[in-house]
Amino acid sequence: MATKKVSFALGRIALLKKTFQFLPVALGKSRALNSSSVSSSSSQPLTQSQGRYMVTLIPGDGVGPELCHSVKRIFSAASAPVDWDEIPISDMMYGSRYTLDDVVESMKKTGVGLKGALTTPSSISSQDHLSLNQKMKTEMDLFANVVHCRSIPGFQTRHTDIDMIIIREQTEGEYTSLEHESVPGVVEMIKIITRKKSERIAKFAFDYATRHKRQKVTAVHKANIMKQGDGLFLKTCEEVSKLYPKIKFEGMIVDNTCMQLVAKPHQFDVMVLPNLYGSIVDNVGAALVGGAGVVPGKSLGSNFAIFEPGARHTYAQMAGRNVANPTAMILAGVDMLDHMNLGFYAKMIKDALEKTISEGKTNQYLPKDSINVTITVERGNFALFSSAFTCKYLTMDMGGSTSTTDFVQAVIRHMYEV
Amino acid sequence: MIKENSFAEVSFSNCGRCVPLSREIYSRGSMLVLLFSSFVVISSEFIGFRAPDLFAGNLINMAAAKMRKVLFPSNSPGFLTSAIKGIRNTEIHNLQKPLCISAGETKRSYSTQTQKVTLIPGDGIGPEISNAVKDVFEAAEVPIEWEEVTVTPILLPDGKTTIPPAAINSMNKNKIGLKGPLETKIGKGHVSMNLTLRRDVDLVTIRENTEGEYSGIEHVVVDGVVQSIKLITKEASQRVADFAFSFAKSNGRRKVTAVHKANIMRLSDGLFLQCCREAAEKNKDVTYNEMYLDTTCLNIVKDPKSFDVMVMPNLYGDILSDLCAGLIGGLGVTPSGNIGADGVAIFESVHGTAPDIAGLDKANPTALLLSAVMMLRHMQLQSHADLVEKAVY
Repeated sequence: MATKKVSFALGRIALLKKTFQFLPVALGKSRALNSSSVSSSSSQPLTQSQGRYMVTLIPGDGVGPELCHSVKRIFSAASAPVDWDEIPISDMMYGSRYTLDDVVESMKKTGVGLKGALTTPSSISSQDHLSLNQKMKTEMDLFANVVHCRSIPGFQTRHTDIDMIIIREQTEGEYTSLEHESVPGVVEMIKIITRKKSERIAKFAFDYATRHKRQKVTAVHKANIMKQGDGLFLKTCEEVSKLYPKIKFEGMIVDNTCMQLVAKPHQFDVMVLPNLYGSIVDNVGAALVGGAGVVPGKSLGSNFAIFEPGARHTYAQMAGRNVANPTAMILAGVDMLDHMNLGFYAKMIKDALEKTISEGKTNQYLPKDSINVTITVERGNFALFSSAFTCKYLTMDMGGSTSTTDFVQAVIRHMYEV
Repeated sequence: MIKENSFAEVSFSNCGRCVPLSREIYSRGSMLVLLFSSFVVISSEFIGFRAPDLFAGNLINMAAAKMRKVLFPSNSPGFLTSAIKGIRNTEIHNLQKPLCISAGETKRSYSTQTQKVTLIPGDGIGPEISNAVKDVFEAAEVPIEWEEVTVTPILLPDGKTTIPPAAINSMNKNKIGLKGPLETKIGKGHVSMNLTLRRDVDLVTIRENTEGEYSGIEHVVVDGVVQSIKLITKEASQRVADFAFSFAKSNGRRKVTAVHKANIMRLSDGLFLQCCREAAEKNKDVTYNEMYLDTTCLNIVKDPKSFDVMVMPNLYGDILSDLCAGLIGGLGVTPSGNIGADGVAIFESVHGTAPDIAGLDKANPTALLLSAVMMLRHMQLQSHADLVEKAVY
């Protein structure tokens, strides 16, 4: 095992040297040294072809493709050993030759995916009751959605130092599409809560809390009204909590949770929720730390992991206008790299991103020499660009006026300023 | 008329400081109030009700309001009538008696002579803040005589608890009441609205309050699998949609937002949405838009100013109204009134009893004062209401 790891590490260094041969020598050297230390501690990769990893990419709707492209650019600039298997499925694109089966097929090979937000159209007379989003979750059994709402260093919001993890069950509950019109004008929607799935998500939440050294898990419910359904969820969480005596457990009613979230968000640590409440709390949490554009999320199952923005909005009205904030998508990519044991690249990208954002806020000017022409290598092509004169790199939703591409360029530039 | 300075003194003496009047000190002293003042949430409460005959079975947990603008616009005294009418129209569900709606029925003919008002001081901080209101009213020379009653539940011979008959008699006689916070909350809501007061934010959530997720229909299919049924009917949806538009129109509001999740719950929320669209067709002078629940949650925290009137099914309304209350810093400044169809009206503060600070002279009487202002407007004592309200803000 050890020899295998070493040889793998050596392969990585060779690859890096090859990739960085156009870059300044000192830079390449430091990278290579760093990466060797990282890769020697990494375990067996999920898929591997000559040290590179294949990842399924679902660009999504609205601004999704732009954001995914941003991530691709940053990854290639960081020389992250990731290849993309791009499958543009969509509920909005009629007559697309790609189907969900292609995604599942690809995911079976790669195990990891990066996904932009997909539109769930609300055509009332739709024959197909489950949207792609839902089908994807059930097909691959991506039962847990994890959104980490964390205040971004250097970006001021009303509350600072928010750090909470929202874990949402996303295969049952309200999103079952079991509806019927019993008599004209009366519609019943069935929400399903099962002990099995409640137990699974509760265990997942406590495990996640343990692994990330968290103190408390809050189960969010509406068991005062839905005594049996949400009652079952709450009771199951309570039972599971007894297996984890070191972690505090509490239950909280969903409306009170929302009130507490906007008033006193620091009391929350890890939250575990049924499907619909999860969607609500994800969005409230995202809004607290700066909006849908800055919060990454991931959908996890036992076999697959899909990384995506935390608050899933397609932001379709801004599609193609180059103003969307790629932060959430980049952070999702960073999480993905972490998941794939490519921590070195993850840290490099994350640092550059945080630097870009905090710099944008403080409005500092860079030292003169860094405003020179920078050369990056993008997949063997030379891309030549100069950094702009001002350093205020914040997109519209964060109070700036930078375009998506400029923001991405700034991140890339910061990656090279070690 | 009362001089402003003596008024201000009184109001602050109850906050534990006696403020001699000067503009600066006044504004400093009322900082807390000012921060949250110009913003109203009408929040619906869904609370178990233990005294079903207290208000002839159709007490409507209605509307707190941005007093001047929303509920009792001074230039349209007829609005209350129309609001009550609207609510009655919306409230067929739990009525024990059929209602006949006529303008005359809800018209109140109060004279300027002293009126009796039932005062339920409540528990915890209740007595303190009730005294604050009494002091303020005395200073403002409001022609009101308080009739204090207690509603501490008494035990009936058959083992049930109920409210003392004295309280019920007093309420039925006086028709108007002011209620502090109670340990066991009393009140029962059907269509309710939630107004939140906040600086430069002013939005109203209107929530369907009879069905939806709160239908209470649940069953265990097999062990470990539970179905909860959310019920949406065309009738109730139409009712609340129409009410939202008539509310918007009569209050000079320009936009109604339907909050839904019809991309997931296509039939049920779809039906609700369809009813809203139909109502929008009928009321083309009001701007209408639709928004997904998750998008609403995101945007309301980021930018509550972009919302005006929102209409939504039961559960969403519950969550969003509490969210608004959280945004403005708690329920401490949210006034509320329950107006029954037979003319009985109870005004109350919707916050809790805060037993931890009871007796410490620390409680914030703003909510009860604002509720009392609502009561004055309800009693057609406009000038006194204006006076007190100005002093509060």
